[in-house]
Amino acid sequence: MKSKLIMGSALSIAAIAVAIDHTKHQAPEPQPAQNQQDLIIIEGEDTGMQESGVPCGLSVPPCSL
Amino acid sequence: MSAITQKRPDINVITLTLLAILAISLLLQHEFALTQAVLFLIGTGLGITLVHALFGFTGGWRQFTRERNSVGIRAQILLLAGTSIIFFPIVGQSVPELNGFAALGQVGVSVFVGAFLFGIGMQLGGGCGSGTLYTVGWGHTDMLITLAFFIIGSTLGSVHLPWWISLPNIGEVSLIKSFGWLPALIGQLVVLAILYIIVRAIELHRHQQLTSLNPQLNRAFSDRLIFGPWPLLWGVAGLMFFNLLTMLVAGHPWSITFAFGLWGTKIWQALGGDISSWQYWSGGYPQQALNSSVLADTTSIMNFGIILGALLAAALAGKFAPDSKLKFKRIITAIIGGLLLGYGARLAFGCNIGALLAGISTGSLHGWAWLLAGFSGSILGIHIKIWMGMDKPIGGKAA
Repeated sequence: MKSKLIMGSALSIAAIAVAIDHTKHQAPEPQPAQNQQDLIIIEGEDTGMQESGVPCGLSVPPCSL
Repeated sequence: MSAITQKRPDINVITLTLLAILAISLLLQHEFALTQAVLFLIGTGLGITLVHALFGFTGGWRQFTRERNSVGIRAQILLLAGTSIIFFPIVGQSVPELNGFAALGQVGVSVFVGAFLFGIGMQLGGGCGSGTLYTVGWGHTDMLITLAFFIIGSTLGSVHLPWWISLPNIGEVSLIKSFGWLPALIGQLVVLAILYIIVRAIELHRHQQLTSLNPQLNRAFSDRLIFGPWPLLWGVAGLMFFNLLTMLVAGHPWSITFAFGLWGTKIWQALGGDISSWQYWSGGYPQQALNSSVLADTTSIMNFGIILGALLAAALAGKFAPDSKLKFKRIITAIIGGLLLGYGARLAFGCNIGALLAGISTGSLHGWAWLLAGFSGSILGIHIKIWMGMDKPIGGKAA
């Protein structure tokens, strides 16, 4: 029972920490689109997330694993 | 394994864990993308596999060093061989539709020192990268200490890493680029087969019989699949399957310890610490990860998944959070072991998963260097535990 309490407390603290971090780094609300043309441009942009979101494949060492 | 008696599943813990897994999956899909939710679920699959199969590198190496029992090491060799067969063609771009990055790391002083320290830490801390996560999820409270200091060690390692990687090295060596994926794969499989034959022969020589990788239990397949325990062979299959899914969804093989350095640096920042001089976090993916939500980092969400998956598996098996009394010596080894694990993993470009398994199975020479140094460190760690009186001498009855 004591172990369960410790584990429950640890997981709760971790969950709160993750929630705080996520709230802190939440992206700002997007500006309302001026018109449909703007919206198409935004959707069509390559954000580069696929490439930069991968730990391996960085141009500088280490691979960050 | 056949002596294990089945306990009753912990329904309350199972319900809470399933709700948590569902809620986090929906949150990840809502806040980010479906791929983040899928990666989290892959992590839970890995956690379930690790607990049900009791698949660990630390225990396998310890069993072989102390008792010449090769069952754990044979399972690891099969995992390395199977994963290599899957990953070499992908990394070698022989399948145009599939793209996957190799887990490359430079071969030099940094990886040898780092893996050696990690090997010592594995035995003192009581777990490797994957082992620490799944035993935490299982509810072993001493492993919370190991994990906390793993995070601290990893953060310290990331601060010192620029100096370590400036030490002599021959750079990154990809066996796939050097020899082509098929010749490299054949060569690697030959080396793994030789290793398998050697460890098998050593066990046979000592015990005149082999411990089975697939022991039979008098239970229904479905019962065993859900409630465990799994034979090690199922564990190998499960880890290969979820590692392949990780490669297909994330674009890189399964990794663990990057997240620990990230968590530590985020905590240090939140406490008001100055990280402006920490070169590692000032560019590339590390900087991007630091300036984003922790839920945006694929390694972090997979680690969360592993912990919750392990928790679920332990509750299904009725063995979540076993009560144990923490002794002073165990606390000390958990602290020192955790620090060595974290610091070593950062220097060695990953742990037993991110460098050893991912490195070798994607054709990086640093994975082999890691294996050599890590296993040497593990032998030293085992002897340190004997010297501290925490383990009986080799040759005596195992503690």
